[in-house]
Amino acid sequence: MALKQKAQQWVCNAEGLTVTKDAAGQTVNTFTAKKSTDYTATATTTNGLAVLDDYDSWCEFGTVCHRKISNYIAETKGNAAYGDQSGVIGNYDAILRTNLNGRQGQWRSTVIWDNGPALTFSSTQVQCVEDSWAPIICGNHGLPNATVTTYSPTWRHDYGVIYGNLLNNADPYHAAFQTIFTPAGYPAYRAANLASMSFTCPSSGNCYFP
Amino acid sequence: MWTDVSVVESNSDRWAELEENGWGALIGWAAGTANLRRRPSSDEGRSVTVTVERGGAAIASVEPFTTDDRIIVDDSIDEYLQEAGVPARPRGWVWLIRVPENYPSGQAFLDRINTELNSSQPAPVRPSGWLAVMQEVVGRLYEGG
Repeated sequence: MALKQKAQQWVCNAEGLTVTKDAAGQTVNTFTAKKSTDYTATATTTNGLAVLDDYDSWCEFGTVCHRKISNYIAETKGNAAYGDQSGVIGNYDAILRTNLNGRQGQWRSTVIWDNGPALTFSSTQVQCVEDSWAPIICGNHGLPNATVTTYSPTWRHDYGVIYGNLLNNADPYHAAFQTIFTPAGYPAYRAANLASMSFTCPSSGNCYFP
Repeated sequence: MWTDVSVVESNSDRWAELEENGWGALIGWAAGTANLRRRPSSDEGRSVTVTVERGGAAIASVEPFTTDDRIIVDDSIDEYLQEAGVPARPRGWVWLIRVPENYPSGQAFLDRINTELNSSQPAPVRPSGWLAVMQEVVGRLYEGG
């Protein structure tokens, strides 16, 4: 769709297509959700999940995948392609792992270069969101800039652990990995949020993945 | 300390299973050897829930819990303990905490511990901050039994 429109800057992920500059170079920020019928998604798309020692081996090709490993650990991986009017420039993966301890979340995140020019990730943060009737931000946790390229070992960057705030309210929560990435030789792109699996903090007791 | 913890073979309602995370492990450390037991763990039959999202549709499936999943769980616990300055636990065990006689069940005792910890003011952020709070709370709850 982005190529048909000759969009000059776009990002495609599991949610849909975000066009940030149209064919005329105007900033537009339009989003078009993918239709589920665009895919023949089946459970077999997760066949590589057993190979967990390498995050680059599962959940590729424009999907978002969640794995609930235990009542207290879940990880989310998203794959995004980006490009301009000439076509795809490259793609990358982002991974967000949530550990729940007591009524606090801990987060570890990773970015993996898949192909294209070197990527620099900036203005990166993990945002904690309380999903009450009106979403409430329960923490913005900034992360340092990181650059990943084709050359080992920098094709992948693991950010340090984030210790989240105490979550007092009885509500569902999630975290979102947010970043701006700049491919070498291209303008900056704003990535769509990568939202973690939802977890529950009850009125008493500790938080858990339902 | 961890390796000094006695091994039990059978379940008892006077020993409560700690949460399989850093929080549970740190409570166990705070309780001390005399109030802790362990039994061999098994991941046989355990599963992982997988959800794949594409184009607004989510497809869920279940997969076996792998040895790599076990490593993720154990590493996360070790990392939490390490930040608190506590040595890693031996792997392959379920850890149990002694339930004082004045509590009707293990769950009631764990609920009491968590309620007291979660009402701490100010709440620590890091495990190293939680350790002292846990030692105070657990020690006090054991004073009655």
